[in-house]
Amino acid sequence: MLIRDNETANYSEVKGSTHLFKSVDSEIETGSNVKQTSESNYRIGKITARIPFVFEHDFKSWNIEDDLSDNRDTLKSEAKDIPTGEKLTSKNNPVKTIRNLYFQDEFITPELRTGINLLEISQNYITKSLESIQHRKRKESDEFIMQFKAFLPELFCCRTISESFGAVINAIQNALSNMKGCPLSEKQIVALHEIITGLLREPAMSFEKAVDYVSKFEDADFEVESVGVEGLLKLTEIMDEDETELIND
Amino acid sequence: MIKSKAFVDTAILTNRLIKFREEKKEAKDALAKYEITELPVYAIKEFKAGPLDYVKYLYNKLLETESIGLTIIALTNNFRQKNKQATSLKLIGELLEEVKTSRTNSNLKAKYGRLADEESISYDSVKLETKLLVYKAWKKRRTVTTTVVQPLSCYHEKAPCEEKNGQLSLKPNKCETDNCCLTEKLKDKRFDVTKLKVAIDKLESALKTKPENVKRQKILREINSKSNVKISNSDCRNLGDAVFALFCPVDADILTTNIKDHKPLANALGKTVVSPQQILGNTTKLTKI
Repeated sequence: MLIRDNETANYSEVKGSTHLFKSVDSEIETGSNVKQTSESNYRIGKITARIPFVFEHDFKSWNIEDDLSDNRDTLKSEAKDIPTGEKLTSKNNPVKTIRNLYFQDEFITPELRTGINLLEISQNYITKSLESIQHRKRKESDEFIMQFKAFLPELFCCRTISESFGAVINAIQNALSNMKGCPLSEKQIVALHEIITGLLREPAMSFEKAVDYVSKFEDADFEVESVGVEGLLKLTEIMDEDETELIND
Repeated sequence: MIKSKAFVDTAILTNRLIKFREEKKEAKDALAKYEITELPVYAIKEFKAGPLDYVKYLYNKLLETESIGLTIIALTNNFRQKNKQATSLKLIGELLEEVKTSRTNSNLKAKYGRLADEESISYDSVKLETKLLVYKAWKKRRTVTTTVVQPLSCYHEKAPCEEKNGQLSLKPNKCETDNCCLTEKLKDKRFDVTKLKVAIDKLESALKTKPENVKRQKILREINSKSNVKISNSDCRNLGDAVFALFCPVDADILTTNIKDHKPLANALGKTVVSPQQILGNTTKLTKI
């Protein structure tokens, strides 16, 4: 059994930051039978593995084969113990093996690690909030949102993950701040769940994709702009008004 | 009587896409009152070259100064009307206060250092929001009305992009020709053009001498008097409100926040101008009459 990269060629087509999903391929072929089965589960041969790794890397200059050859023997010895078709557990998870080999600490920034962890916790709170509001427990639902809100400042500190990550977290912070403490509606909690899930799936999504997420989020009656930008824009506009009045005078 | 169709002007598009709170809500609610809302591409062109360009300018200025404080100084340098700054500075102050009280704390500062610093958070927050606003507004421009009408063959709607130095660019924000596609259409409307010229002549002195009316009058006169007139990009921009009066369908209202400037022109051609406040005063949805 060999360990191969999953569709390496595709990575070079992605501009800037991108996702990297590593997989074990029981058929030796390069990633051809790796399919996404749900948001974060990937089917690899007959094994379903959860792939939680996302990081930024310049794939154009990275030779995966060189990297593989250094670790091929280790990979073989660790991976051969996983019979094809066996249910994946935390003990035999090949992704863990690969994580140790390929997702070296220098690749994963502390911000990315923290960001992913905090997003998972956030997603959990929002799911609970959604369940509560669906059971007409409005106060309980709001309490879960308040707990989620407490993570936003730290999530924004993880903005080095990507510009999109920062922009999305900032939009959520502004939106919740503009709610001025009013409990969220079910429609808004669903939108919040969607945007956090999207960010968890792709913390380094393209900026265009971040725009899509925020636009959709905004449609759930959220105001994602802050008073600060409003003030700065007013100043920018006054610049020209001032000039016009100068001409008129 | 208010009609069932609205011909949306640049001010409404601007309020819906890049303004805040009440102005944005008012534009959204007013548009929702109409059964049909039409946005001419001319409004998109004006929006990109004007209001959206301010947002882009702000982003680029933030990028250049790398500080909110320095950006404010740059924007207000040589400002004569100090009283107008007050509201803006108050709003900026509110954001800075919020960042200080609820977007960072000593634990985060200890863990993340500069990334958790108030100044860094405020700056990055404003910068990211401004960039997002540019892209979001552009993406949504064709979704605020039920239809987008009257395409301009000489104008290419190119999305904002980032230059190598990170600055945003909205180019092209003008027509790529020295003879605008509106030329022939305006020649066909010479009778209406004359009416607009007369309407501007009749305006009270203060309005008539406004720079925009002076420029508009000049190009209207040229269209009327020269058979081989060519409309350049700046002529096209200077026509401004006259384009809405000339090309608004007879069964539609011109929906605008700028009643004062639009009304004399629209009325000269027997067309109606309505503001969001007037629409929102009307409690029922406007259906075909």
